[in-house]
Amino acid sequence: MLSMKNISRVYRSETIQTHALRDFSLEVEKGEFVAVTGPSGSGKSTFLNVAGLLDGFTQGEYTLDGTDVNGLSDDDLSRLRNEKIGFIFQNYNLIPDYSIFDNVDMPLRYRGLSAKQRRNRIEYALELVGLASRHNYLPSQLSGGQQQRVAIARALAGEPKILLADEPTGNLDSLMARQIMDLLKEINAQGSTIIMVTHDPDQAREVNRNIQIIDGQITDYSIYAPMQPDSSIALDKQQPA
Amino acid sequence: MEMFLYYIHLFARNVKRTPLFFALVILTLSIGIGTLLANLSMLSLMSTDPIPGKSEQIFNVNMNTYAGANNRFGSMHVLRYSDAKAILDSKVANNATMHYSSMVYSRRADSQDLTRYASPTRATTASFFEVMGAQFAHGEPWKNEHSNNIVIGHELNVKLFGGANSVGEKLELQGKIYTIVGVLKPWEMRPLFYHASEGKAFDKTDDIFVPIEVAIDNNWAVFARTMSTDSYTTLDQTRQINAYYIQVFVELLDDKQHLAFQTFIDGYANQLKEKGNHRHEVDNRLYNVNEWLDKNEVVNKDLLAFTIATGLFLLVCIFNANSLMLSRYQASQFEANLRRAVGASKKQVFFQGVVESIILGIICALLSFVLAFSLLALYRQLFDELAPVAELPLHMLVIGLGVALTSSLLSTVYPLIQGTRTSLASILK
Ligand SMILES: Nc1ncnc2c1ncn2[C@@H]1O[C@H](COP(=O)(O)OP(=O)(O)OP(=O)(O)O)[C@@H](O)[C@H]1O
Ligand SMILES: [Mg+2]
Repeated sequence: MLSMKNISRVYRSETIQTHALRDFSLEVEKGEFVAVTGPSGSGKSTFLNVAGLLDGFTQGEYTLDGTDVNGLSDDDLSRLRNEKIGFIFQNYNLIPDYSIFDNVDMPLRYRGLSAKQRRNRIEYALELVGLASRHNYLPSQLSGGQQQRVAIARALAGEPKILLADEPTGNLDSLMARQIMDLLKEINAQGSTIIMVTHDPDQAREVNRNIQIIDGQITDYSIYAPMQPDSSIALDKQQPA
Repeated sequence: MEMFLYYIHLFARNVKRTPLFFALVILTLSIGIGTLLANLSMLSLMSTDPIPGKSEQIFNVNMNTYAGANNRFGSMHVLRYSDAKAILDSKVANNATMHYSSMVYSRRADSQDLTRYASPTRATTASFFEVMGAQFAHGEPWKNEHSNNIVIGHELNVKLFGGANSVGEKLELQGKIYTIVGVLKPWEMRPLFYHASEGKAFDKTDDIFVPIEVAIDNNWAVFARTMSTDSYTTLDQTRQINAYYIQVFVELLDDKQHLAFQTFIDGYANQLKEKGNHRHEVDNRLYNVNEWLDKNEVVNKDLLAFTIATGLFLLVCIFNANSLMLSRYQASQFEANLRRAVGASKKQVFFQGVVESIILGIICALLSFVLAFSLLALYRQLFDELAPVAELPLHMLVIGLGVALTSSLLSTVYPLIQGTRTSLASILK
């Protein structure tokens, strides 16, 4: 599904060079739910942005769902973003004066779908995140967790191959975070591939694969078996004693 | 098409979101365009070529024949009858005409009604119509310069005969009967180059055209500058004296004819000088149509300066709109980036902006038309000398639309390009 080989991303300013990603390689299979952890500034967001084609890379090879991304035009990249990727941001990034319906509609507008097709998909996606009855609400009329659900619906409505989420629960209290996690797991269970950046080790432990990035490189690479919430066996170094 | 409609829809949403902002941009641009348009309209009417294709070939003849001791006037455009007649009789020019401006009261000879219409009149020669490019709807010029035959303009023909073919009909002018031999088609000439002096450059073409010999014989008054160093009581005494009131226009097709005519008139003047009938230096000048309009400052210099100022003002308005737009694009860069993140290409975001600026431009154009119309109406009230040109011709509307679209594109394209340049990842968190 996703294959990165020796990817580097260097930020250059006048005085300093930052190697946000160095010699970064990763394979993600269809249907996986991957959690990405690591200290602040280690390159997690950079990885996700490169994966989501929101950012370019300096070196290496990146193949997304069979398409070599290197050298693609802006038009091609946009189409890939539109058709294959659903991005979920920590800050939801909803348009404040657009209704829920219109927010979810936005990516579909660039798809060349008929009004009826769009409506069907929006209704399906809002149904899935449990907001079917709130089409005409504005984001400000919803709780943070509900807003993030709208953002998830927006990411799902285009039926993407892969969902990329950068700390989707970072702004939420634990109860709402729990609900979003359950929703993502349900979506994964229905076959979607998900990569999620998180600071929460408990969340990381819930999914079937966990990678840790430090200083732009993968340092830990563990595969967890799917498990019950109460059977958290101590494979996690960050777990307090 | 689908996307185009979507962009229009998004424009409407954007306006609803920040109505004050759009009002400000639209007003800023419209005021700039409106004032420029109003001034440019007047300027363009003033500087229109009144006789395209022939304006390089028709010349006003100026001579330095003033008989007074102090010649304050230099070479003058009003000539003595004798000099004008000599030029026409010489037949050196390809074609030539002379005229003076008069005004008579006209009435249908067969009318019961005694109402008379004040009719601007041109006392001239039959060659006038060909030289000036006047077209006949009915009939033709008079054949005899001493006959009581006249040509009338379209407007008077409508007024007196309801627009019918009035050739053969008779008019009573100043108590005498004249026969109509020709009716002109509607004839608009702006500026009125055959009488560009004395502030008459934006008068209408005349109602009545009469043989100049007949007008002089009947003492039809001169309604323009006249000068005389000899005294006279009636116009029919002016043929042999130093009375200056006749304008002469000649048609010279090429440089050769021009040279021949200049040679002729200089020779003629020198002969006069030998005979003691040319008091000052020989100084004969030929002005073609545009030079003649220039010399008479038909294009108002103050207005020209003012128009340049309004042009600069428009630039300021565009800069203003530009910085307004820039501030908004920074604010709405979030949305543009979000659109790109979910799959809009740079092109699509750019086109969305272009569609927005085109709609904006059209709105600005319409508003600036209204503004320009109002401004011109105000000019008509305030400035008598601008009144005849305070109009908005159709081609200026087209230019106005062009200026509005360009202004609005200029105000949006730079911010747009800036907007599509930023990296997506740096904005969206
Ligand atoms: N646009 C940029 N220009 C320059 N340097 C950048 C830019 N974006 C990120 N970096 C640098 O790249 C490194 C990795 O940043 P990144 O945002 O990927 O970290 P992160 O792991 O997501 O951190 P956090 O957990 O705080 O979100 C950091 O050192 C950061 O300063
Ligand atoms: Mg981050």
